[in-house]
Amino acid sequence: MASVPSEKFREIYNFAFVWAKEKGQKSLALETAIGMWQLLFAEWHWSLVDHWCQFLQLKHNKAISRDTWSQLLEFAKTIDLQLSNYDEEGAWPYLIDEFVEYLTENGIVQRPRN
Amino acid sequence: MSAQKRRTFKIEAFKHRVEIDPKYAERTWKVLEHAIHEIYNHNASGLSFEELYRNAYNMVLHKYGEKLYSGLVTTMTGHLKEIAKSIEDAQGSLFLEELDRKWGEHNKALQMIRDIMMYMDRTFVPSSGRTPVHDLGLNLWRDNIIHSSKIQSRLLDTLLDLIHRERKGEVINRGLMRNITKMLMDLGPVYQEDFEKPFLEVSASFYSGESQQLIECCDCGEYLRKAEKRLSEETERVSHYLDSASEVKITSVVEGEMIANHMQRLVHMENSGLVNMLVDDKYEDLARMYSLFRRVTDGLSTIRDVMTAHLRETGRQLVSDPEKLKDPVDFVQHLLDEKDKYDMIISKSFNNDKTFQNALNSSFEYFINLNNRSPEFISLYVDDKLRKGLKGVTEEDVEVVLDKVMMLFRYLQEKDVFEKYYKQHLAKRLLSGKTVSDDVERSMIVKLKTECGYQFTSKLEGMFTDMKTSVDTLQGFYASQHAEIGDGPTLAVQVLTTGSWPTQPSPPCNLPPEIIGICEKFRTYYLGTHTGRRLTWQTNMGTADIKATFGKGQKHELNVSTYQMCILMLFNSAERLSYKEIEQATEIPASDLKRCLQSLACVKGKNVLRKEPMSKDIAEDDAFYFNDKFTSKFIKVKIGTVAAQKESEPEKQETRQRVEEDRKPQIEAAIVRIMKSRRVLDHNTIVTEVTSQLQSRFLPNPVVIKKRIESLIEREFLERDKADRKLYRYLA
Repeated sequence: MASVPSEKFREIYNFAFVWAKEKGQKSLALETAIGMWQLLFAEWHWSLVDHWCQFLQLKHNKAISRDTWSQLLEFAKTIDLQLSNYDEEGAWPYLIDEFVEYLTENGIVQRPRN
Repeated sequence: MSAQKRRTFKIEAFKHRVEIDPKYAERTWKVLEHAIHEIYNHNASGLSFEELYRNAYNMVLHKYGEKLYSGLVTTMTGHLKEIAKSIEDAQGSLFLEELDRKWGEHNKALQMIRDIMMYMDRTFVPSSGRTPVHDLGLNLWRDNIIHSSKIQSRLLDTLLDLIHRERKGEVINRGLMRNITKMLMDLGPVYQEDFEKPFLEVSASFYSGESQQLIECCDCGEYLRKAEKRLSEETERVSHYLDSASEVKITSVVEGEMIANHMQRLVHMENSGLVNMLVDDKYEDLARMYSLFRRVTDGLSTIRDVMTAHLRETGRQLVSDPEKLKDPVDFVQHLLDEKDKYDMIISKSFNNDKTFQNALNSSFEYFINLNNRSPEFISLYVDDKLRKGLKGVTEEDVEVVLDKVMMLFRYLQEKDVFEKYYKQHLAKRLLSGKTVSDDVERSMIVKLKTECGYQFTSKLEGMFTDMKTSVDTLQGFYASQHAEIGDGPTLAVQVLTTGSWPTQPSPPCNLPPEIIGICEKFRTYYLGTHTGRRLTWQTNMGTADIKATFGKGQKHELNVSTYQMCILMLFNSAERLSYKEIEQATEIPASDLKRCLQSLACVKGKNVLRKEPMSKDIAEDDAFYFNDKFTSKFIKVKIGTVAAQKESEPEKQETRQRVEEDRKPQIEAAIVRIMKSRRVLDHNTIVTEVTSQLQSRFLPNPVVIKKRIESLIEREFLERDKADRKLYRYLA
């Protein structure tokens, strides 16, 4: 059952990025980001968080930009667990596009074919 | 007349009625009736026109018009029935002749009758709404002759039979046919209803049968020839004995049966269809196909589609065939030949049809870009043409070829890749002094500038400038040295501006002491006149001419690269050198060193060095000796490899990487330009706009565009809209 995260949660989530990154840096180190995600998504549950972290460690291995960070919450909020309402033309950050590819290629999610 | 009142002059009719005796009317009619008989019996010469006219006139005047008219109808009908019988009795070919003759006679008779009845025609007929005499005569002919049960179908069958026989090759009486059809035309809709409609139906089934037969036994070219012949026959037939309005109807029947119904089968006929005609340059057959298919719906698009599919397939094969890709110059020549071939076909056979030219262009664009080495290969082809030493090629010839190459260039989607290679190849040409002529080089640059704009060529022009300036610099250098140079080596220098030239600067190797002196003199001279600059010798790009004397005293002049010169000069003071020793002494990078040693020691006819062991590859523990026993029939031996070549796989990857890197700022610049003017845009629109802005240089990858957008967001040039995450905003 997916509930919608509160506005407060969103504020905290976005603040977490600013707070956790190194001063003077634009992006957040991957290790730190993963730690923060584990924490935050314990509060408001997103079942794909572990896959997301695994994917990043496997394929990305670089810092996380602010845009990617904030858009991830949007993604977790709006896109269902079968990814049936994910739109390739939806202007998602490319990392998220690659994550969707990763999920489908590895059979983690079976996207309904339409 | 009284002076007071003016009155109009009046004539008054008789106050009593003047009556004609009905017997008089009957008598008058009999005279006329007799006259009509005489006319039909060819005895008209004994009649008085004036008397008959007066009689008819009197009848009408005395209100006996009705009697006159109906008498006329009866009399004429009676005669026509007799005429019908005589026509029916005619045997075989006499049938039509009799019909024709009787028709002629009837018309003559009708003319005379009409002249006699003219007063009735002008007064009684209109006022009573009757058919005028001439038309009456035609109608009666139609009803009593043409539509007579014994004549109607016989007439049609006879006509159709004659046409059928003529189609089969017999000669028929065309004059007679013309008269008959003209008769039918004169009778109003009779021609269309009674003749033309069945004629077209019968023709359709005739041609349907014929086309079935022909398509089984003829090849495509033959079939089309026969169809064309039939069409012109039918047109000729119409001009000789049918109504001209029938032409378009009958030709469309033939076109439908012979062409439209068999289009696919003809075009795809094995061994003789469209593809075979194209391959074998059968201009006449192709022209015929074009002009025939043009007449039917979708005819031309059928030809065009098959041609396009064939072109794309052969093109695709050409650009994926490893055999054909071995030699880039050959490969491009094949492309040019193919283009020439189809240009010729379109001009000779397809009427320079623009839609076909477009199909040709789109096909070429399709398959040229299937191979991502096309830009490199086209540049190599141009390089080959622009090098000195092409035997028998005049400057005009080269110009013609360059124009054709520009056509291929226009098809490239990755024009920026071409630019990169062109620069590399141009640099090599300029530095080795191997261009056909400066004018031709510049003309090529102008062509590129016209296609792609100023930025494309500005750096290229920088290279030419450097070459020119270097000549002046060198002159100045030698002037300043006076007699100090003497016997030493002669130095030629090109001073290159970094940034204009494509090669990456590399650290210089160790130059032999014989050279260092003069090189330093030049450096001093140059820096003396150009303060604030830095000079670095590009030892990976130079050449040297060395005089060498071998074992038996034979002297040769060796043309080598600078690296090779450094290696060879070492052997002036050592008999034997190991690979390691050479490497240490010269400090030439390993991969280059191996290549140089290979060309000095392992190539037949150029082996001025001897290697132990004699293997083909250079190993780190090889030893090298000066090859005393070297022989060559040429005094001047060229060993250096400075000519442009197809890149090796790793080089190719490197170049591609650099191209991708170069594209990123271009994409970003386009995004910023667009967002600056539009302020707020959704993602897809940005991608479309960027693609359209950059398409004259390359086709940007949408994923790369997305990454650039994200990079711009991170650097705070753009932001996402707070309400709609699919929109981006420009941050001033």
